[in-house]
Amino acid sequence: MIVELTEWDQKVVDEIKTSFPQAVLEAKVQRDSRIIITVKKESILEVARYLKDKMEFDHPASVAAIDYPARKELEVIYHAWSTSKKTLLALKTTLPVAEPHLESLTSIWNGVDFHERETHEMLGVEFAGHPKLVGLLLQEDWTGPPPLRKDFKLRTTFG
Amino acid sequence: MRVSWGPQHPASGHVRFILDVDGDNVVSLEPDVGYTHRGIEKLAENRTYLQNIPVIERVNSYCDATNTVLGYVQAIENLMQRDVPERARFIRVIMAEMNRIASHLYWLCLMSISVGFETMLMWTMNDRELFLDLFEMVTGARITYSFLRPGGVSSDIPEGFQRETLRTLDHFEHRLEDYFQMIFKNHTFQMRTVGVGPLSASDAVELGMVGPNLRASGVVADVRKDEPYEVYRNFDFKIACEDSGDAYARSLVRFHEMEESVSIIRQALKTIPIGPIATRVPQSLPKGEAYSRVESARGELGYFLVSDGMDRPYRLKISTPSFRNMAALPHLIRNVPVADVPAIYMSLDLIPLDIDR
Amino acid sequence: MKELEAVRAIANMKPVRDLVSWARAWSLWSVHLCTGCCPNELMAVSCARFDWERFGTLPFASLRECDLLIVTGFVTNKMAKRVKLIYDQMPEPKYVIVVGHCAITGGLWWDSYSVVQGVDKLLPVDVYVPGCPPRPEAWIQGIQMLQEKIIKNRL
Repeated sequence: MIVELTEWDQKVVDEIKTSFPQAVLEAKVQRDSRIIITVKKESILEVARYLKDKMEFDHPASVAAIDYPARKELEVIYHAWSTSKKTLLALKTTLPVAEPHLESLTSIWNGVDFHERETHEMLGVEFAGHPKLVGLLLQEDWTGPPPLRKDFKLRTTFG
Repeated sequence: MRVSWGPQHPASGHVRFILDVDGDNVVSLEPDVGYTHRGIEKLAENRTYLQNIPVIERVNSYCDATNTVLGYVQAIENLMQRDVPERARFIRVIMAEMNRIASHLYWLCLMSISVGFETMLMWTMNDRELFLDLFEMVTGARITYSFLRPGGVSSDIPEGFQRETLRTLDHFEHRLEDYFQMIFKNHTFQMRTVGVGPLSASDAVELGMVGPNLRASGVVADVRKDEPYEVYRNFDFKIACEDSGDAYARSLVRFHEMEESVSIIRQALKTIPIGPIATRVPQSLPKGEAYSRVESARGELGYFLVSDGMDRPYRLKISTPSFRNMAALPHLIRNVPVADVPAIYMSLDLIPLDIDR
Repeated sequence: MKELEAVRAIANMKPVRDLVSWARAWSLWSVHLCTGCCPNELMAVSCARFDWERFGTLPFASLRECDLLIVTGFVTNKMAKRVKLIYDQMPEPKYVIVVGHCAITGGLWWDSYSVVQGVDKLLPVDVYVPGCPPRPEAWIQGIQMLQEKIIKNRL
């Protein structure tokens, strides 16, 4: 059973590379049941649709974004699980900090709605096509920068 | 008419729901969360890996401290590629399953209040005290004990723990029989939960639901079986599953999970090996990323950890079960009577602390 | 007017004031304000093993009939004005017990961008109960300290 699943992981990686040769920048099996696929931001919607419909990644898990100030980039990662094949997908893309626009994947996975709202609020990513991209967790009168950006500093001493 | 329910209300914490009400019918619901947001993901970047343990524990400390920290230490151990001693793994599983029982008892207390069954509030809280006594025996604290460490656990189980635990489990198994008769055979409880808030399997998966809510809709998904971690593959246990996806099914799944947890703890106590309880780990982690998944009482908890080689996380993303399960609320509460809203909300077992982090 | 003055004079007599303070101290109805993780222990304290109801304390749903606000755990900036609103809606005389390190000084969330660093910045506090979370016995000691304060100072 475990051998079959690892073969499936490699099959996903090989198939996605051949189906989207221009869009996919990197695709690899990180370890047992962990696949990482990095795509260009313009193609994320079609690659995600293929991964859900053809490769059975049906269960959205999380949306994370990371600020890399040295490269002036934000990396956005969608995690999705396959309930049939028991594998976790990490679908990554990078956006320039100056223009953090990405297409929303709510039309593919319903469950990423609140996750994208939180990512928008915490890191300033603009998800085009999201049904209601407003704040979720922060106080209503928050005027500061997105808190999870690296230029937003916390206190480091008491008092 | 728009009605605001919360953020102060006698339920599981501060969350506000904006209900569109037409007479006695709730047409739609919009959750307004963030009243317990502490910014744990940002705070985690300001502390070392060890200092983060008490902080992470309070993501969801409603009796599920072990499972909450377990995902975090597993992510660290994945990055380090360090093996944890067998005895520590067994202790982790015993504590995790006791946490699951304590958490489900707390949920059962809140569920009973929401359907107006005050007796069960007292019974479940009393039985939960027995498990808190066991936690206190091992760790010294009742709820938030910061027991796990990357590489193992902080202390060994003491003399007499096995005897006390088996005594508690024997008593608890009798109580579970009483609970089944009192709650699940109770006509009023059935009236308030059977057919209320049904969720189909395909919707549950689409929305990203996890835990008992997913299993109650017929989807057999449990991290302990899908990706066995610690020593779960050594034990023989069933995944509790129902088909109807309503509030009654969700409640029944949690009840059966308590029974399975009792069985796992017994098996673990019988087969726990002698040996060390921790392995030394370095302060800084190598560069890389790891995603660890654990099955906490409320469902799958995911930790995405990115390290840049320093002694603190570069980024820690916590994907909590309540945040994911919250997606079901606007979907389920459409054209339902007002009186059904507490039953549906409680049957999903959403904890605002868990949603907001 | 003369009757009102007479009533006031009787109410100000020491035995009457002592009786009123004693009655207030032994029937403190608390508002459900379950912020943070300390409400875990609030449930434990309310139930059979520790049972704070024998001291007259009863968590009650309607704010207008409560006289004790127990802030259990941290208060976020988003929640702060609602806590103030709840406090303002309670009728006089009212008391505040603050439970847990997070509520007293910010606790573990000392560097958080969204947690109020101590509830006494929002409300006047009568009793502080430290702990993370405090044991149920400490909660009961907090209630008893408040009772002594009410009886001694005739609050």
